[in-house]
Amino acid sequence: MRASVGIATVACLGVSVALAASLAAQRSPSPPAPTAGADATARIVSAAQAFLATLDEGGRTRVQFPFDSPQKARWSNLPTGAFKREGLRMGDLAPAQRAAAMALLSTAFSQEGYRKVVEIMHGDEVLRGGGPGGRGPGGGGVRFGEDEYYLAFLGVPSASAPWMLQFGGHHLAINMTLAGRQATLAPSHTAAQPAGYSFEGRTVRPLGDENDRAFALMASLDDAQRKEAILGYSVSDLVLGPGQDGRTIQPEGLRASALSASQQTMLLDLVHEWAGIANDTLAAPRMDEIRASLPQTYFAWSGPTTAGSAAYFRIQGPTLVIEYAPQRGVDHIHTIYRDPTNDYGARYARE
Amino acid sequence: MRASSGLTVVLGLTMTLVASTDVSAHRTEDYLQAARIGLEPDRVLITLDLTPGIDVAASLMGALDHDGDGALSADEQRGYVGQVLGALKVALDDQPLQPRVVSWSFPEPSAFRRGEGTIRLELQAIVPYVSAGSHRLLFRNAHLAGHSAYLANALVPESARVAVTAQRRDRDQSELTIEYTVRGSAAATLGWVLGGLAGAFLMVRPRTQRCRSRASSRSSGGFRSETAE
Repeated sequence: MRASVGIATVACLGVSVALAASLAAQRSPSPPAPTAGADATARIVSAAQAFLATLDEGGRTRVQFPFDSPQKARWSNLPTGAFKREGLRMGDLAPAQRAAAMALLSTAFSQEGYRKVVEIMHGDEVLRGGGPGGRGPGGGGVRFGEDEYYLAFLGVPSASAPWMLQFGGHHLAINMTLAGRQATLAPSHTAAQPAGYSFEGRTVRPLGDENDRAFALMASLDDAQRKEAILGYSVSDLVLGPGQDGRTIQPEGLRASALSASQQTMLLDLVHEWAGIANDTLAAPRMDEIRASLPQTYFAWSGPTTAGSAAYFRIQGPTLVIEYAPQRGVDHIHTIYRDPTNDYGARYARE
Repeated sequence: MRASSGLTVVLGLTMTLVASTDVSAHRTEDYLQAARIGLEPDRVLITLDLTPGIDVAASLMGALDHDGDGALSADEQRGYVGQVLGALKVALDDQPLQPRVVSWSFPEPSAFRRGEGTIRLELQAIVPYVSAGSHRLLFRNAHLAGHSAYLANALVPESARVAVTAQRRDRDQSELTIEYTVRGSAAATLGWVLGGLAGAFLMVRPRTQRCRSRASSRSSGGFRSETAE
């Protein structure tokens, strides 16, 4: 455990320079220039190439898959042992390789997105046994912890041709397809158990903002809006979680067109918790797309509305599905983020 | 249904003996049964994903593995699929439909025992004739009630002729009613249009001819009379 956290710390330090540069590039207050997306992709490609350069031939072979490989859909919420992942396992990387991998993630993701990913991984380390609520090594060959996350490339990292950066493990699956200046994270899965833990004297809640923003939005609804938003039945898990590619359920709940301007902003801020995992420059056009289809977007809720309760919610629009599903309590959360029109960059392939 | 009831008893007895071992930090003592229902003009497609939690899986395996070899043979799988099917009720406009199993898949026994495997059933019910207009599909899942958590959702129809207008569920989603509309097909619409036009033509033609005859006789008579006069 100590060694593992130590490695993570070294990795985090190792990426600090890259992260700072990335953040400086992302924090520009003005709207991204038309070429900004291409520049962002180019930076990610450079980081991917830097990572590849740390590997030997065997490592490069293991991390690389054809773009249309079945590996694309080979992700899960389940831990190692319960689900077999391919690619390069973090625990098998040397410190310099691992630092380069984390530098790649910090370049591809926003500051908040990177924080979320690292906190989910660390939460799994806590689950492994390194903190309160830890469950030990697990039975039946099931393994938890920061070492049990895998990195894979589908297609060759390119500034123009489509390729995919896939990173995941227990409670995490980020499938980032890039195509020139465009990028999508759909489908991606984030989750957390424990939903909150202590680390270096502070409380860490990997998906805390998702939870808090959703309850704040719910609290802002008037009675008529709530009546529309609240589903009259319990939802015990994700409807469109892992293994449900290519399906679109009938939307339900409150139409965003019935929200006030400030409530719509709250809804978009909530959506940004998922869409904004991507590098800010690449997330911006995606948020524009979601904003444009807001009148056709629905917000649905199942469960108590008192903050701190376990409640399910769903946001669904023409190009968006987000679900947040507590697993029999507030300390174990599963979420999913999809784009029915562009999962795995299907739209880019058509274009 | 009898077999299903027996299975429920077995599960009930066995689960009291199985300690809750939250090994994987995932579903343990309940059985997630998720139905996703596709509506087409001429059929209903149901995908049923059955994920027994670790405690349910252990009991289920014990109840289904008749030869005790630690795996579920094709016959044992088929028997269980039949039990699940027998616990479903599907009705269109209050008329029962008989879904048949198109395919099924079972997870590896090890994943099944860990409560991390999903049994998937693909079902299909052919609808001989659905008139254009409003319809109501009922889906009810009573398989292992009391041990299960249910999800039931209508998928966005692939056919532009079908539109879901409402979904109503009971509290635990073991029952879902989908209200939907079906538009006439383009071919049928074209047929109706052509038929209508033909009918209108046939109806109008004699009248036109009669009118023409009358007008002709009137005008000719008039002209005649005019010319004659």
